Amino acid sequence: MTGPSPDPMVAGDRQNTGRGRPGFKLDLARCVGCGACVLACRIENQLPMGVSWRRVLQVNQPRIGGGPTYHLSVACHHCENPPCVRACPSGALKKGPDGLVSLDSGRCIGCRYCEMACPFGAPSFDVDAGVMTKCHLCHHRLAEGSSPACVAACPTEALGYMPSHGGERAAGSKDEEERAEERQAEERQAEERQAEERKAFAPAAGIPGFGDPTGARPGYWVADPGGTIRSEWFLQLKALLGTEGEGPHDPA
Amino acid sequence: MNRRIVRTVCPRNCYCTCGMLVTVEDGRIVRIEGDPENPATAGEVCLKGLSYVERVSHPDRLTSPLRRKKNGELESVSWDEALDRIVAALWAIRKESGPLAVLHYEGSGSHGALSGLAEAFWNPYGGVTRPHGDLCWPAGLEATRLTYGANWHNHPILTRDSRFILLWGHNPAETNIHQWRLILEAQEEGATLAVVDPRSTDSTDAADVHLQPRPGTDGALALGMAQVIVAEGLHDADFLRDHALGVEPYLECISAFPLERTSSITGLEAEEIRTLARAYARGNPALLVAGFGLQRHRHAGQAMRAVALLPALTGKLGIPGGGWQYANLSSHCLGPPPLLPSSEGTQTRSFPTSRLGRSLQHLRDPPLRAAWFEKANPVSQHPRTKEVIRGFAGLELVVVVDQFLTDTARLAHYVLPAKSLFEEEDLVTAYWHPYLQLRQKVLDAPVGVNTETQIWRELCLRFGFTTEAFDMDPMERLRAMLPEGHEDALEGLRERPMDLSNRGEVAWEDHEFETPSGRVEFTSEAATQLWGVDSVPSYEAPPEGYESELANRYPLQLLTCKTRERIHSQFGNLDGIREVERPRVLDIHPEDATSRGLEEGDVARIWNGRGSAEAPVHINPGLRKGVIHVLEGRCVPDDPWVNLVTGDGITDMGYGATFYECRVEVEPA
Repeated sequence: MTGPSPDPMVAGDRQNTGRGRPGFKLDLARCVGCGACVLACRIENQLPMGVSWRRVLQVNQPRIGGGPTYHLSVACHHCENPPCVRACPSGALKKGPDGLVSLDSGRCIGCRYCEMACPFGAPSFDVDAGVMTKCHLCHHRLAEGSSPACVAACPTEALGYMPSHGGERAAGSKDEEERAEERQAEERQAEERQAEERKAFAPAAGIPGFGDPTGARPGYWVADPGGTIRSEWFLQLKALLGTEGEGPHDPA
Repeated sequence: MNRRIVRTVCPRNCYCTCGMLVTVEDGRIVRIEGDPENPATAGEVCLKGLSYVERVSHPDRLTSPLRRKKNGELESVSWDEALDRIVAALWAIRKESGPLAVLHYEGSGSHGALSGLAEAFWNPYGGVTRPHGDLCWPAGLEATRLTYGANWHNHPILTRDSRFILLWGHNPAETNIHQWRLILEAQEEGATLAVVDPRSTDSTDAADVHLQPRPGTDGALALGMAQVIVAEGLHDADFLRDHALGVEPYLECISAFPLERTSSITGLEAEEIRTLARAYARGNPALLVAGFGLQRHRHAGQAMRAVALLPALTGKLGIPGGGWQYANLSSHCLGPPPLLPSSEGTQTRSFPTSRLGRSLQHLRDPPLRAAWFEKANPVSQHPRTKEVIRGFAGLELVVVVDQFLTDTARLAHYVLPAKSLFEEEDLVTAYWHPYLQLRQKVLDAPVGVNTETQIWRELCLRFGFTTEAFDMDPMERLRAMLPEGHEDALEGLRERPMDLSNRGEVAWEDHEFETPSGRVEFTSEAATQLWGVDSVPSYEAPPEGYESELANRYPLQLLTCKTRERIHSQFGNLDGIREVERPRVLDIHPEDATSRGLEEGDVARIWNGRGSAEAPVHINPGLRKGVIHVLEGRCVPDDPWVNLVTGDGITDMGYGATFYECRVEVEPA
């Protein structure tokens, strides 16, 4: 969790919107990694091959320990405090007052610093054009009242669009005490949910191969402002994977 | 800018049969979305549905007939040149050997009612040789028909009401994505999900219970579960008394499957079997969905009967959220195309389709001299492919109609470019949801492409046959194929998919079964009369099973399953698909790999007496030990050619194929 940012652009964002920022959400229990989101984005935005604004990562693909494979559909999170914007030396990347992290390709010098800075590898280099490209949240579709192409195409409705989230933090209107209370409430809820999930597994307990041995059910996954991934299952999986196997590196 | 949105339907051989809304701008398809008017597939299509944007205007799409030169290369020729030569050959072959020396093979690459128009050529030709049966699913269809009298099931959306879902040999997260969404919704409401599958898949990942039996032992597992259910009094005695036939012999049959024996056959823990049996029987409502996977071996029909009887044994039929789900054919209500010339006096001959390779080579009186393939890629998809290729070598004329240069097209004498689904109107039925859908024409075919309708018409003209079946208005032709009393449905179909079956959403709600006895047939005399099997669903070990003699030489069991990125050999050539497609690998259990000196990424040779195929090794601890897996659906030359290894057995009922009954050995290549 980042403190108040000294970055005037982001600080300005806080003052201007007070509503949080737009972003995607992904329900891991629903995502089967089918790739429809990737292709829908490609078609909608007429991306040439080699350029992709969305990817599907597979976590624990070898099913180590008998645990499940998770699929992570990842694109730009339009972070509250975007490392790509900070890394961009030409001012081509901007965090707009609407929360959108946008790229002015006319100003882009093709240095690819943003690509290196982004914890999600979201900016994608167009070799032919010699400039970066990235997700713009299908703002043309949003203007028509529809959702981004990747969200609209998701056949299991795992991928969602949030016009605004993280608002309570971005608004900066709450003091530390309120935030601490909220965090505690969230933690209590998470514990209750986990207890319920454990109960759901109870009938099959003790039988080899039943249930999820990591004890971690797929949960709701949103990248935090600043890029921290908050999720029990993720940490457990990461511990399980150890140094072996491939998983996305924890960007925190 | 000229922009319009056209309602149409995906005609691929797939459960979902999605309704689609296609956006066309200036004559080019720019966007494909799900048709919200189809309640089963709702607002989205899958990855493959989206990929039509690329597929329809793909640079590799064929737009000119091709002819094989003496050196084996294919060259472009005009339609007139190609059709004149084909007609000359067909004419000579009929004169010398009769019409049965020609094979007409129509696959399931694209579904539509217009396929019946081929008769308008072959009937006046005098008949033709055709395959019978099906590579995919007939054992399960016949088993369901023998048990319940018809193939239908609850409306898919009722899956949401289920509180216990048992998927058996089925992987909807990859092959029936809209069913998967409904299962997820049921799970979110508290449903328990159990899966029977020797592999770990995206479906088993979400399951609460996952049983991994030896492939081909599903019949024994079902009988063993039934034994537990009856022994513990969890069966529905009232339902059996009022609505079942032949329960006594069935009870005797299952009494031979106590837990210890079932456990030793299936390779599962006794406790696993007991838990699943209890959980299923107590589930309320509980839905049993059988996939095609468990009926691709020799004794598949009997196994499917045993599994299909579990919902009846426990009284779970006629209930929203319950029931037996295999195939729903209630949209299959269309008549043949109008004005077809009579088939009276024509000669017919057929062979079981899984025996294509042997039939091409060995049919006599007359031997096959020519073959016409459409909507099919048998050189990729047929078992025992080497025999198929040998069969091709002996033919004087092979014609292949396709959009792309497939493995089969590469071996043809003439390749005729095929239309895409957007280029001709048709009516499309489904086998999961009950909706009939209108495939509206979206675009004209590209220059150089003729529809199959036009191709048959051209052949008829050259032979001097009547062309009246082809000359009527296309929409009037479709109207004439609608069931009686629904002739005006065509207008409605422009606006939405329609269920014309009048059967309701809950299958067998009234417990009136379409069997000869009107009851669920636990004992089926028809099964014995038609197929020579026991009247009860007895279990027999598969000839290529784990305890067969072959297992000593070939200790591994090969499964060749399907996944989300392709429908068999289609779609694998598209960049947009290849970007997200997972590599085609040999999945092997770590212990099986270690004992053979195989490591991740090594190239392995999979072989048996029928042939061999190569694939990169992927160590997969999620597989049952002793089972290996390679995805079927070879599309591009780098894909593993697994059907060089699979066998051409025939299932005990329905004339199906036995792809998953395949013993092999694996070694470093």
